[in-house]
Amino acid sequence: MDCKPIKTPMATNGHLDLDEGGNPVDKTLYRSMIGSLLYLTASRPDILFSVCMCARYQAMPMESHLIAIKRILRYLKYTSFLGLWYPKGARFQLVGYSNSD
Amino acid sequence: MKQNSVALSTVEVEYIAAGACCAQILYMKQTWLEYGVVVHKVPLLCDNESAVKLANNAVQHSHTKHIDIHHHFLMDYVAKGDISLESVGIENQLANIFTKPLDEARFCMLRNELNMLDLSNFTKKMKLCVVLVNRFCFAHHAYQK
Repeated sequence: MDCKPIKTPMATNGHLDLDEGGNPVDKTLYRSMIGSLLYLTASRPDILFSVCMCARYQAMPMESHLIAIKRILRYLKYTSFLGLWYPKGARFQLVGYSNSD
Repeated sequence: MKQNSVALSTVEVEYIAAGACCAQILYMKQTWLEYGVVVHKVPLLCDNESAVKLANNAVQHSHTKHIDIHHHFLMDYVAKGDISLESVGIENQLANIFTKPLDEARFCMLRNELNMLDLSNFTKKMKLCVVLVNRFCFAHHAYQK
């Protein structure tokens, strides 16, 4: 993929909407992209929010939603070196963060 | 999570969200107990100070007296010392990365806080780094004792 890399997975103003007047896209393709990205969230929690946002529209995906997914892919291209690492023998502590939306 | 009531204030919203988070922490505590890890006063950080005050101090107030009683189970666990509800500044609220789209600076900062590492040059340098971090944690732990 020769896409232009980008530093965040989603635009800051970017709440998606139903976009009922938009161009419908292939549902199977859209859902399979969501499926792959959801699998990836296990090791990349930073894309969790943007993937879940896109997953809300899989009943009737439009072109604008597909563009949002492609932005996540561009972000992943830029940050393919990141990952979680659980070292052996590390001490850990439990801290909860709560927020509402 | 499905919303089943309309909240009247942000305090109520945050209070209910903290209650849901508390349930998750209790579950996690229980799981850890099976591995022999015992934790007390698990910090639960919430960015709404009024919600924190409400859980720590059970007073009746005209703005909060309508909150359904089952949301107040959080209060019991705070009183028992299983969890400790603390307030946190908005800039240190790690959960923000999961609830709203952020700009680049905040996003990268919170991503680092999630301990996401650069795994591309996974070399001796990295291992040394981990040894140092572990030592620091050990020293910290010893200090707390």
